[in-house]
Amino acid sequence: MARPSVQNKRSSQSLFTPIASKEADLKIVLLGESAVGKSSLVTRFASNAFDADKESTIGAAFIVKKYYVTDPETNEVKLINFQIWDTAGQERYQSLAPMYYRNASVAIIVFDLTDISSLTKAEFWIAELEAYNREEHKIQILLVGNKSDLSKNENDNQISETVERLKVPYFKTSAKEGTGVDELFKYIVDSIDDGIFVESRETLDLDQKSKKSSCC
Amino acid sequence: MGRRKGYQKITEMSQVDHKSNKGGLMQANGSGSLPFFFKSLTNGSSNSVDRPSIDSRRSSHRWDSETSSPKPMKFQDDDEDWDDDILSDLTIKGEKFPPFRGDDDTTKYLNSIVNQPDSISVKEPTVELQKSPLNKSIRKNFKSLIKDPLSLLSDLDLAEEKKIYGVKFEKFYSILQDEQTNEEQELNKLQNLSWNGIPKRLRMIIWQMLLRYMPINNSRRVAQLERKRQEYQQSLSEMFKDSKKDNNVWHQISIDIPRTNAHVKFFSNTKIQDSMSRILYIWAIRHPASGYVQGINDLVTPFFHVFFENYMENDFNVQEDDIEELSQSTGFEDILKAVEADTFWCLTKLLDTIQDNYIHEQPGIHRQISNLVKISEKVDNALTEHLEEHGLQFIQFAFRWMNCLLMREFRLELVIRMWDTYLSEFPQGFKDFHVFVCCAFLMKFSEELKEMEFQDLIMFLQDNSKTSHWNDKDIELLLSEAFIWQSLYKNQLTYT
Repeated sequence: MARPSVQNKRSSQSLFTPIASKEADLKIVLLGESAVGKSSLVTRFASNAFDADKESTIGAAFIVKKYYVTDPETNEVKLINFQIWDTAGQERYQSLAPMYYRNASVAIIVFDLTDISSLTKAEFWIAELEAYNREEHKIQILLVGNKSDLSKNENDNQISETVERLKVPYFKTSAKEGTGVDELFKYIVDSIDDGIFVESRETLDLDQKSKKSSCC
Repeated sequence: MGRRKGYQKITEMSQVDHKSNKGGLMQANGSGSLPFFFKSLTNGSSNSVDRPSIDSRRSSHRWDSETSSPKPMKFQDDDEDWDDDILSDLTIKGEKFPPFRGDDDTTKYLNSIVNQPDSISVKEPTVELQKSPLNKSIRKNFKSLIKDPLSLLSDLDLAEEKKIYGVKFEKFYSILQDEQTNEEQELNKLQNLSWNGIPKRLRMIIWQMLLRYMPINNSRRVAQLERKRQEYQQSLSEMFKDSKKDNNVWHQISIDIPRTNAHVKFFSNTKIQDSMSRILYIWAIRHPASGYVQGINDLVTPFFHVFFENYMENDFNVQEDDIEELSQSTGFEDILKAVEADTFWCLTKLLDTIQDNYIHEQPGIHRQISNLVKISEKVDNALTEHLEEHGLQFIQFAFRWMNCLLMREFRLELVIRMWDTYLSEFPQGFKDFHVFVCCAFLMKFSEELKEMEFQDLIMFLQDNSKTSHWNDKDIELLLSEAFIWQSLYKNQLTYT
């Protein structure tokens, strides 16, 4: 498995915030059994941090992350504004889920690699979203097996059978160690339809400012 | 989703920190959202925020003058019958013994019960004493405190308590010392006094009295406590007998307990965690309509904290001091046993008032939220319109406020202060009054919120660091404001 350390990768990046010419909001929802690491996955992505004692999510939590990329063809800088709904996993909260996935473009369904019963819940969510997709707009569905740091590959056969049957993109991650998280979100970024980008507010703001300064 | 482009990420900015440019908004500006004619009510009492005198029935600060108009009390289960059939509704499902940390402890614990099934009374220290002396943090008279919590009255440093709490302490003290004539009147006095906060040393007793768990009446108190604790022990041994447990329930509890206030040492202690797990498990099995729901674990902690503190010397800080050593010492098990049983019953009493918050589809919470919307519209229509305009639904931030009774929004010691008032409003405190507290809480930030758009709104409302500088005075102001909204808009609430 490719395993570049996330820290190294980040520290090599430039510290300045680039000015994006285009931007897009991307709504993501996380679903899955309780305590599989949904919140930890988001925290790793948004803040590059991990808290083993993170309290359980109640209802849902909202997290925002600005993510800049350059288009390899045009060298254009684009901003993706991730708006992530991280839902609570316990069964009792299930009836709240539609409110959060209804407007999502991407659903990340998470299960725990060391707890095979959580895969059943993941299948449930995939089935529910596919049923929703048949009637409404398309939500891209991704399956994530988390806690790869704890996994001894004991459930691999069953997992690969399931993944094959479900026909959804599958990722292995460790929110604790940061493994696979960048790959997951890079995949999401790469699948974004160009059509959703609009002219960036950052550029507009800059135009405003330069106009102001030039006139005074 | 379109073609894959292989974008190259160049840098990123996490927008978790939205507070940086808003230093000013953290000011506790309690009266900001109040109509001018209320400002004097809430601002006037800078030293201690008095309960506002709007409701004439409860307006008196002099409890001794209230005998003429006692508040109608609606409770009946202070005697023998509440929750009596603890053993009859036990259902033990599941076949396999799920792995969980602490099985050994539970077994040991249960054996100790089985060995002395007829008595909850404290085991005489024998050889153990030499091995593990009484920890200096445990009160010397802990045995009598367990048996009759009111025995602490003879042990108090009155001068010291008066120095801290002033005349308020004397009032509490005289009620507790009184050879009661009328239990309801006594309770009524305690309710009125408790609204403005309870002295720390008396908190366990008063809380248990306000919940109608501990009888105020001297003649019944000791026997009642002993019986309820014994009942709990019996249900424990029944429930964990044959090592059969409801796997799903136990699994959910065992993954939640380690992350319940995990940053506080006290709650990361194994024995404390096992004890809380047992409480939650038995409550869940006895209430199959709701079962265990995340958030109920939070509700155990104030009880546990307050009850445990009752047996500790004044210099012991439950949240900061290390209890590893303490948990090995003589007396700890006895204290834990009493605290566990008392917590179980008090949690049960509390949850009885809000059980539909946790049943299927959580209708209680949805009702509370729609009441919150309704009241907020009355109090500050511009704000609710602003939220609506930006597509923010109350459920997206207030669900947690209801499900965890605002416990995720405040530090535990502030929650405990809040519960003094909630318990004095028992049984409506955690249900209806709470909605007004949520409204007052929302209004605290009305001006800032009106400047924000969806993304900042939701993040600000979910971020609990906005109360990190709050202290008891801020909570008391919040409660006073809630009281005002309640007296104005109580008739607007929907109950079904």
